[in-house]
Amino acid sequence: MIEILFILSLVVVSALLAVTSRNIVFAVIALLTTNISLGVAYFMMGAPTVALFQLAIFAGAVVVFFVITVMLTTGGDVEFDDDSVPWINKTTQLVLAAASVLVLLGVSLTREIAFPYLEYASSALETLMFAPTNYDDITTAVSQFLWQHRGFDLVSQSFVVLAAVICCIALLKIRRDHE
Amino acid sequence: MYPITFFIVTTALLFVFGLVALTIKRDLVRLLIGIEILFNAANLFFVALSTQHVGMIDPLPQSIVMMALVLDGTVIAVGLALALNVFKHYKTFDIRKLRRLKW
Repeated sequence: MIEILFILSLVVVSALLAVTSRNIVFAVIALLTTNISLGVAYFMMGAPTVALFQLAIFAGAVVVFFVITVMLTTGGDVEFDDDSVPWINKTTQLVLAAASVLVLLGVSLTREIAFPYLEYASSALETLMFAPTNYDDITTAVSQFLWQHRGFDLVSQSFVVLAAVICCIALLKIRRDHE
Repeated sequence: MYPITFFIVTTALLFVFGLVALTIKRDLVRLLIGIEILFNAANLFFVALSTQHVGMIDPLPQSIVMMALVLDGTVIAVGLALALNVFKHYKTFDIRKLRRLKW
């Protein structure tokens, strides 16, 4: 019990540092810590495939993209001088406070009321749930589920990723043309 | 199985941090960091709700979160490519100075 508390508190503290740190390099390093600790948390929760994807994509590729962007641009300059909380006006502060209260209320209410997902999982998909004995069972079941029940989603997703790659190439090509 | 209260609190805090970053930050890269924290909050809550059955595993949420992770990665990659292009043109990441993007 204490280990998941430690990991989750590490997630929260590093996310706070990623948002509040004035140096962008420190913010990216804090984001890396958030992603790695979230991957460990997924693994402890019994989702090893999600943990693998989290570590490979979010803690690996995305953080490398951030580092490359920072290296090619500002190179770790400190944030804008007047970029502090007081510059935002009263309306923004009110909206932010109201949104935070709404999020906290909504998330805590999911515990009190019957959250639709739990009903869905407990009734309609009862047959798909299984009792694993080790992590290999989970990875095998998840990959089988992906190909058997979500095959169309996977194919659609590959087209989305292809479109994103073409988009990135086009953006960076325009940049080179201007040089 | 861990108590869902821990995950509820963590998710709410992550969501608020991401929202704050999106609201008060002016740096494009920091806005993308906020978006990624929001993605993490949603994924964590989804996986946490799916692991609330003692001794049982539901493969549906895990497979959906795996697909969401890939799509989140592409969103961030395209956003960073856009940010690089913006910096090349305007020499700044400050969104308040990017008024030329208006209609």
